[in-house]
Amino acid sequence: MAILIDENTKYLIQGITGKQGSRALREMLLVGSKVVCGVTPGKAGQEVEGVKVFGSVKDALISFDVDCSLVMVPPRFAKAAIVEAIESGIKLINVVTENIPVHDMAYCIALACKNGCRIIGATSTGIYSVGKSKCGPIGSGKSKIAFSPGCVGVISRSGGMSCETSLVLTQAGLGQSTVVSTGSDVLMGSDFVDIVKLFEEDQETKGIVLFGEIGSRCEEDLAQYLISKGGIGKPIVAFISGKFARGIENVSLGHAGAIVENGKGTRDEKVKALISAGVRVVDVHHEIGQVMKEMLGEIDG
Amino acid sequence: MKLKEFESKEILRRVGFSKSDGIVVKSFDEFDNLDLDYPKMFKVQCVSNGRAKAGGVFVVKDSLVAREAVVKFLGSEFLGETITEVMFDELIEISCEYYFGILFDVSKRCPVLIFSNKGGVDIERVKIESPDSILMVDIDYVDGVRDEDILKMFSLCQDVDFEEFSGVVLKLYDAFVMFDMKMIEVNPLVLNNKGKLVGVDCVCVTDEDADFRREIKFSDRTNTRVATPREIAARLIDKDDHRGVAGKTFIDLDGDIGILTVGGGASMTLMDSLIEFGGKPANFTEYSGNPPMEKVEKLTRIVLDRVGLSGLFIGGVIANFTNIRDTIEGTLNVLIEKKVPFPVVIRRAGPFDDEAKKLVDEVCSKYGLDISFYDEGVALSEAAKIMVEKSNEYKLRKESAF
Repeated sequence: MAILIDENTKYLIQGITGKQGSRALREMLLVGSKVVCGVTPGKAGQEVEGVKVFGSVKDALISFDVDCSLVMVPPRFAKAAIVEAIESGIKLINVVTENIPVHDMAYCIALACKNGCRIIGATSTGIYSVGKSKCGPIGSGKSKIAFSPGCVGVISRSGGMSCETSLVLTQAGLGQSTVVSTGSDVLMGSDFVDIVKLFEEDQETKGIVLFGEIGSRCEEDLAQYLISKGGIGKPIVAFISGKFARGIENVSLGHAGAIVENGKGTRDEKVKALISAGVRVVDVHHEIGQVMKEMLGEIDG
Repeated sequence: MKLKEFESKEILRRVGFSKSDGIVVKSFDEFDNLDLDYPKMFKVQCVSNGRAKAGGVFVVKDSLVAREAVVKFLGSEFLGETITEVMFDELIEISCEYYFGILFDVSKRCPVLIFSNKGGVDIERVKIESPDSILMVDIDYVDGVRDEDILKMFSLCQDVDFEEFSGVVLKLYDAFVMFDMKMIEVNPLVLNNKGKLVGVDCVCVTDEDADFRREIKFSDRTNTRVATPREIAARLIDKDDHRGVAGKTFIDLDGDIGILTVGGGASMTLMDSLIEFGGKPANFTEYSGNPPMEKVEKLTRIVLDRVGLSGLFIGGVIANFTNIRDTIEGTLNVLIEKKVPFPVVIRRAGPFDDEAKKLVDEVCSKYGLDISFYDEGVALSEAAKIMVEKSNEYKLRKESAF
């Protein structure tokens, strides 16, 4: 088990002939992900790494069954690509594209909701069910050494830190079930609550690690969810970055959604909310591994 | 990007929304060539909140007082900004003041309309003090604003014609969508004595990711506070070179450890770790997306252009594609040139990191510099700890040398 994707997941890559798309494809094939086809308008009939390219999602779906579309097209074409995937009936869409206008994502998220489709991203670096399958550039090149299969679910608003967070877990001897890079845009296709719900149901996942940051209400909403459920019976360890940003307002720090506006979305607020919901918040990032290990040990003991 | 009042009102004008008729003045000459009917409402144009409280909005009764106001504010510093425009707005007879705003609810991930019959004051205060006088309506982005959404808010209106109200809501929502706004706030939205709703003050926040398709362009600004020379210099790095990003965000801080971080999430984690272990960052900045060597060199130069540094910390996550050797070489060039006496700690991993380490070792032995290079074997926050320890040792050595 894992969440969102596993060894049977069949992928389509939108933007497969692009530099980023073809690179992600090669990295996905390296770990055995089943990329069955790709789409780039105007490039129908081509092949990338032996994978067939179609001019539209609709055309691709005539020949192939697809579970998940990976969107790696430039920002100004992202909305059309996502809408096409939703309207073709694909139920999981992972958007890696950065700098998509907020209004475009607002439209896509509303449309996905009406069609029972789940969007992960935008600005996601991918999804990795370690040892089974991965979607997107996550764990490419040298960063693959950070990941090891195991029982900890990872959710990260930062792409790079999804890798570093897995690394400190791996270094502590803890593998990962699925690592989900949610992205940190103003509007997130899936937030912490959405993904925690999946980990909650996943037999294989014994504990959850979060990488959060300032801005949005991702962490506060999760705290509220956990309190309303009276906990989920799995330990959650979180690191929330942005301590240094105390007093800095209206500046996006690293990600579009990492911004404190009118005093809202501060780290202090988030840490307080999470602690009150029973989440263990560490102050130093690399402590995540050790603390999760202790908490899992307590359960076993 | 937050727009000033006169820019925001231009957005409203484009969708045919009535607003008070303000005249913008950008120079003394412009003012002297004006023939205004007094009294007028004088309004400093700035992006900071609270300009009225700070004395930037008041009635001027004649041209003498008006000129005094122009002389006092134009070109001066106000709420940390240099004022480049002031406005003479018409005085409107008010029979009722409302608040109307549109923004994105980040939890529900949809636009939300906010309407209140207690306009003219801080909406956050209204939320707390009289929650009954405020209505929030979620909008399904695919469906847009429906009649029933408008009707819900209309229940808070007094003496306003439904057609008039409905027109205002739809026009403002059009502006929100057409001009890719992250927020539009009209406060107060005034019912004048002719039964018309008029926007007297307005704030718009643009989505910079949609700048490419917005028909109106606005002059660039990134911060409410006046930028320091280093901050300005850092922002210029990307101007003529679109390969990678370097120095887009640069914030001067008052510590003594220079910072060059790589990548959004890592940058904040590194800053926090440094502080957690007792270090004090001298700045915040980052580069990402495999920038060329020259860009990293420029950014390094800006980071080091400061007296009293006791360390330089360079860190990022394991890179997928960024060439570690080349980017580090950009930094090394400056370190050699400046013969930096303080310790430098680098935590980088990814393509060509072995070569980067070799280069660092060569530079250290040839020029006698104290540079430590760590790859993924040392966690990000551990590297921050090493930086703080080394910086403290350096400061101790310096003190005892006196």
